[in-house]
Amino acid sequence: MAAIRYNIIRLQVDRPGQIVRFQHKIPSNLKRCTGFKAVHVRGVQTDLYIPEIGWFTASFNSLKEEAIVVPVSAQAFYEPEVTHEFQTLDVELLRGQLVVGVYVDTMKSNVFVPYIVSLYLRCTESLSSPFQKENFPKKERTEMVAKAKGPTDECICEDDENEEDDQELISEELNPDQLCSIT
Amino acid sequence: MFDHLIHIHQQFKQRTIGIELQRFKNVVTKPGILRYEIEAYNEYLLLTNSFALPIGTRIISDTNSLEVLTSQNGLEGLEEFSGLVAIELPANTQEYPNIEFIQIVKE
Repeated sequence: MAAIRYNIIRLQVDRPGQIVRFQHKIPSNLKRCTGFKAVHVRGVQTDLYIPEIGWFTASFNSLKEEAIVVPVSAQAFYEPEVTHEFQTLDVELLRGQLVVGVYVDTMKSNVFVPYIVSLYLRCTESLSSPFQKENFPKKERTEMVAKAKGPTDECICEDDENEEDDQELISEELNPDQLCSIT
Repeated sequence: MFDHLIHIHQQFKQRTIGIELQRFKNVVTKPGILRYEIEAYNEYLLLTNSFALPIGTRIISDTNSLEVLTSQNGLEGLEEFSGLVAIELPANTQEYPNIEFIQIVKE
């Protein structure tokens, strides 16, 4: 089972050609990042789509893995072609490590207005099953398993599978696409 | 003053990156040419003389970017670049320095 959590790295660009550095600590309960999206949030107002206003680069696990180099585009003000698709990422996260990177403004425009860009990281958190929780004594569990093994092993397996299915359903229903942290 | 090589070895060990080769690499700038590109794929270039660069110099790479500001003149830290590294001198510069890097080729 894995719940999805989103991390947002939000940066403000105040002058043309600015290089904005960031470092962000991903919560240690997150185990893997599976996607990312770099977007212009607000500030640049344009009638035409601008394919590149700047670049994000980011490395994971405290500079151990360089994973993201991506341009940021600006949508036309009146006809935004908003896409919500994340690009694929596959980074196994080490506990408590940093995401480090820079944003470089490359916008070619005579009139500069400060703007904000965001890097969204889609990460997964592995959830432990209720039996593995610390408040459930191990000894008690082994006793219960020993008792349950009495009649038929097959029955127990089926029950376990059903229980897992139920838990998957529950986690899908919850689908906790909520924000973890904002920097 | 800290020892650059000790720092590099310690940090690369922390990052579990093995070093195959370390050597020095210079980029000699010439009057009239303001942009230089170096390929540093699968390797790292660590800038050692940022204090010698004209204010406004920009170094843009796939993994890191730097603009030399007045506040950075006194800094001793190493800046690391990788991938395609572009060096842009400011348009009105009168200085054409040798830009020194420590090149690290990883295993």
